Amino acid sequence: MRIKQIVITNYQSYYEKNIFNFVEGLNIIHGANQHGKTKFFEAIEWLFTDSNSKQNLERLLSKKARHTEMRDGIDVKVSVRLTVSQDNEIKIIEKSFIASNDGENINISQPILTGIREEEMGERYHVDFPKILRDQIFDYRIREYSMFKGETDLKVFKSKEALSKLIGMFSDATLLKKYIPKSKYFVSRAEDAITKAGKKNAREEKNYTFLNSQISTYRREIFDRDTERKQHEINIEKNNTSIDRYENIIDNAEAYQTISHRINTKENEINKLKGIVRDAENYTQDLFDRNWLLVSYQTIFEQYKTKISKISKNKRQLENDYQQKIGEKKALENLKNGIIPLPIGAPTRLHMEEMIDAELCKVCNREAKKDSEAHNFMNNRLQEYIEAVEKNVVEKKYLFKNTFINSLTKLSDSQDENIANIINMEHKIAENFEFVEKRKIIINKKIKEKEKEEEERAKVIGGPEIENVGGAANILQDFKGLNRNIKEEEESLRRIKNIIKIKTEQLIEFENEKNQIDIVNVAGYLMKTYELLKDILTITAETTEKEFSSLVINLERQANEIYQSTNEGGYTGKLKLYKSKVGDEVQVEFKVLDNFNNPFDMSGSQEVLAHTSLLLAISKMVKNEANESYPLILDAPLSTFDNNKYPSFFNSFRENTDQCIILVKDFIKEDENKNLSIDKNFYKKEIQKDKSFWVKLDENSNKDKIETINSIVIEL
Amino acid sequence: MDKLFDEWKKSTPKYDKNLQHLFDSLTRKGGGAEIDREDKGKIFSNNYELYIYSFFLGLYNDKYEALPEDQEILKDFSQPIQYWGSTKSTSREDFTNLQEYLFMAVIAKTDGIEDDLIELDKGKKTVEAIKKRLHITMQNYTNGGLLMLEEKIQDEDLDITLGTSMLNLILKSKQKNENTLNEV
Repeated sequence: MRIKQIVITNYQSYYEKNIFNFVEGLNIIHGANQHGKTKFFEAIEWLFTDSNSKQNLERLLSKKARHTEMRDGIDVKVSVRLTVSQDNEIKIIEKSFIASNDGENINISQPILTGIREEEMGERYHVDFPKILRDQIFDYRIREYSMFKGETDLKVFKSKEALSKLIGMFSDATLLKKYIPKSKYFVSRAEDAITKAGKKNAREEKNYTFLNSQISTYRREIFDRDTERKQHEINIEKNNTSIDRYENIIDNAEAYQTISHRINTKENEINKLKGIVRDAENYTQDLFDRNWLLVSYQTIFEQYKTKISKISKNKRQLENDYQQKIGEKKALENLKNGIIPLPIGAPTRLHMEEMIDAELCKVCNREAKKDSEAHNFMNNRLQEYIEAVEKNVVEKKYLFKNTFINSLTKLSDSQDENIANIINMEHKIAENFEFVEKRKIIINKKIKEKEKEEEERAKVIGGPEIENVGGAANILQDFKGLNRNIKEEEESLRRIKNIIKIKTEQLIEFENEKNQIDIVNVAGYLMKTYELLKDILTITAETTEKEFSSLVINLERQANEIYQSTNEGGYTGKLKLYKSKVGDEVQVEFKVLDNFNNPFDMSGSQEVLAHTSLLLAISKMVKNEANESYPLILDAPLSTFDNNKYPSFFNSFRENTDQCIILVKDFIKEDENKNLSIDKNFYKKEIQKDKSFWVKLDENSNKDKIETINSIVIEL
Repeated sequence: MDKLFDEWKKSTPKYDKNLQHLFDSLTRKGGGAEIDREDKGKIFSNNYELYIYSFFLGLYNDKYEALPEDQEILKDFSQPIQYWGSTKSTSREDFTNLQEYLFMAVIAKTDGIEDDLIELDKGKKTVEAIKKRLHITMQNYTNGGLLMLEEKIQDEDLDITLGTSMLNLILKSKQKNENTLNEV
């Protein structure tokens, strides 16, 4: 089956008619989150489901259609149409309903499924039973393994029943399997016939009857015990599954705590850095606190220095001039008396006093009696001297009374040292900017790391449903209980198996004894018929099982081949399918193991690759066994992928399927204006695809106004 | 020693009443939470910060805008210079040292102050007279700076919520200074 076209009309975000024309090979649909990717997937799912409550249908109606056409009283048809080619025919199925507005309420019609077939010769007609056509196109059992929404869906093979059901569906022995109960029936009828015949001829009838009753008693007992055994096996299996689940939860709880701790540490580091940045980003404050205002001050300071030193020099000059003037004035006064006196202080004060006391001038060696002219001259001369000395000391005259200018010089001297800092100021500011930028880069890096951890944590939470199981105490209690139960169950199983073994041995003895009697008494042909029927039963049962096993082995080999090719260059373990029997049910378990058969610790993307490898192998198996291949449709399975994994992932689908539709949110870039575009990396040669689409909201869509939402389809 | 600086810093310079709105919108006066300042784009912690900033902005850009003679339209925020920059806040540094730089700049930029200072030391002029002259210089540069800031915000859409806006204006004036120096 090949999907040729899907048309989605007025369905959810797809307003009006939106056409997807698909080709064979790999079809990729890009779409950013909430742009209509998943709605596309859901539209196909809706086409294949039958439950349709009115409420649900109303939800499917495009809000834009509801706020435009319907507001104007026009009826709106909501439909999803699938056109496929299959067995040289074109088959179309469409599911639709009509929404109309009677002014107050919205009326939703019952959805209708229509089917059209177009035969090779071009004859086209509506089918009477569209549901049958729909099942023909895409059998629900195959669909279950062909359509996957998200990564969790892909892990469908974690369920042991799922895989065995699927393999069973395609096993050649399926037809044979239904003969097993029939064979069992004929064998028992033959046995009855033999018993009857044996009875008739029995000489030792008593013994024969005893043997018969023993055989049937033992068989019944063994059957009962066997039923019991199966029940115990099922219980043990169930307990084991629960224990696995609890162990997962416990592991995850530990992982949750470890990751949470790491997130907290990161948060603290980020906050600390943010604090540092905040302190370093007080630019206006630092103009003052760190004197950044002085960044241009150097020239001002030079001006001040020059000005003050000029003033100071001027002041000193003026003072000098003034002092000189005073000296000149005094000299002039003395000259007025017409004599040139001895310098003041000659003779000395002591000599003068000695001469006055002696009333004798020792310079001219003449008498100078007290009150004489000469004595008075000497007295005056001494007095003049004393006055001159005292005047000189006390009464020196200055031009400048104040010292303000000195203080200004001092200020300039004391600031001289600081000016080096001011010259350096610009460099310091630049350093600060650099410091802040570097810290911001580190902060962004740490925020990214933190987000990654948070994603990791979200995955841990999303894994097992911790909430559903209750608190830690409950988990522990249940876990202990399960472990106790399993021990008891195992003990009972061992006991029962022992009983069955003993009873079976006894039964065989009785049967042999009876056989001996029968061989003698019963006709040869009857015995031979019985033997033959018994052989048929054995062959049928064994073949069925063998066929199933060979399919499992085949599947495992195929899956591993694909897995290795998608994981080039790295050791990623081996995929293993384990077949086991619980009760009468065959189960197939899917595991990834290392070379020592220990569970292989996989990353998220490896796990997706492992599951997709198995999925692709199944798809191939379906193609071989059913002689028909079906498209695979996957929605956004790549969230755990690194860019370098994309090419091998896409190629594995391209090489291993005939048609595949993958919806991805990757390769969409958003520029600073929030405009979206397809990343040019997508067009690289390594990523081989046959067709690609882009679903996006048109430019009139406003995510906050649901009535404007319109997804459009662009073929790239 | 008679310290002119000590005398000068006891006084409070004035500004044009008509520019009061700048003080109202750019400074956070009278306490309040730190967050308020950020939320409202009030980027100076108090009036004198804006005053000092505007003085330096006017000074570096050579914006000397004479204030009117009329004392009626002048206003001060009754906080003498000597208290500018002193802080008890743990988140702030003391910057009282800027007072000396303000003083030196005012001296450097007051034309003819040389003769007045000589007269002052002679005792023929009073400290008050000198202070008055110095204040005119300081007030006029501040006035120039305030007008420039007003123009930047109103006409050139300076985004004052940007942490770097005030710093950038100062750094730009430095570049301008250097360019003119180079031309000379």
